Amino acid sequence: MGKTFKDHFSQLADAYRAFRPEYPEEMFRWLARVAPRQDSALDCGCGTGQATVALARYFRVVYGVDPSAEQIVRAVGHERVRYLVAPAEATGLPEGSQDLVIAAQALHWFDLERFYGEVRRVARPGAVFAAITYGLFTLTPELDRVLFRLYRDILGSYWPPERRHVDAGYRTLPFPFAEIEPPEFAMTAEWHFDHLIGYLSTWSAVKEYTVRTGNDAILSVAEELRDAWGDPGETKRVAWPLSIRAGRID
Amino acid sequence: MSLSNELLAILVCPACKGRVEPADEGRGLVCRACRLRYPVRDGIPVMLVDEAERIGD
Repeated sequence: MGKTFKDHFSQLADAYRAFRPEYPEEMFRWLARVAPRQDSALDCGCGTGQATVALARYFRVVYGVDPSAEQIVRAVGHERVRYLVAPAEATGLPEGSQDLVIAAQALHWFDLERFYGEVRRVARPGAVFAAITYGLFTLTPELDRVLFRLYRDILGSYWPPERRHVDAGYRTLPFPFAEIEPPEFAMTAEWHFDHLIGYLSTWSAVKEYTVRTGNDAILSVAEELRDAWGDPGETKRVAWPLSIRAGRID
Repeated sequence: MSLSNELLAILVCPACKGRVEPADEGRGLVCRACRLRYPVRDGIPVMLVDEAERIGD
C-alpha cells in the first residue's frame, strides 16, 4: 500500500473537539429519514466522531472509520458507535452492510475512484451516500472582511489544493449516485472572541503557515479582529455555509 | 451478542475483503487467505495493511 493518508490533523485532535462547529440535528434526522433502514450507518473519515455520535441517535449501530489512530483514540464514545482505524477506501466492513454512508468534511481527502467503489461494496440496496462540507463562516461584515483577508490573502497558498472543493461546496467533485436534493440546513454557533481565535487555530493553513514561515498568521490580524469584535465577552452568532451532496446507491 | 463482539465477527480483510477471524483473545484479527494479522488495540481494530503482521504457515 503505497499511499499514506494526509495527516494534517493528528496534533489538533483536542482543538478540533473543542472548537469545531456542530452539525445541525435536523440534518441527521433527514439523513436517517432518506436511508432505507435505520440499522447501520458508516461515517468515513470520522475524525473525533462528532457526526458519528450524532448518527447514533437514529441508527442501531454506527461505524466510524479514520486512518488516524490519534483521532480515533480521542473520539467521543457512545454505546452504539464502533470505531475502526481504517482508510475510507478500504474500511474493513462487510459488503452489503450499510444503510447510510457519510463523509463529513472529509470527501475532498479521499481517493474518489477507490472510495466510491468501497461505498458501493458496503452499501445495502437503496442505501444513501451523503458528503457534507462547510466553508468559510460569517460573523459580521466588519469581521468578515478581516477574516476573508486572512483566509484568502494571507493563507491562500497555505491551504492544501483540495480546499477549493470545500469552497465550491463539493460541486467540483465527481458524484456517481442518483442525487437527492437536500433541504437547507443552518449551521450556527454562539461565540465569544476566544472561540473565534480557538477555531482559527484549527485551520490546517494556520499550522502550515507557522511551519513554513515561523510566524503566527492569526497574530497578524488578531488586533484588527479584536477591534472589530468590540467587547470580547459579548457573544456573536457565527454561521457556516453547509453543503450536502446526497445520492441513492443502486 | 454485544456490539464489540459483533464488530470483530463481521469485519473483512481490507486487502482481499474476505472474513477475518478474531485471534489472541480479541487482540488480533487474522486473514487466513492473506496470512495477515491485524492488531486490535484497546478494543479498536486497526484495519491497515501496513500495520498488519505477516503470519507463518
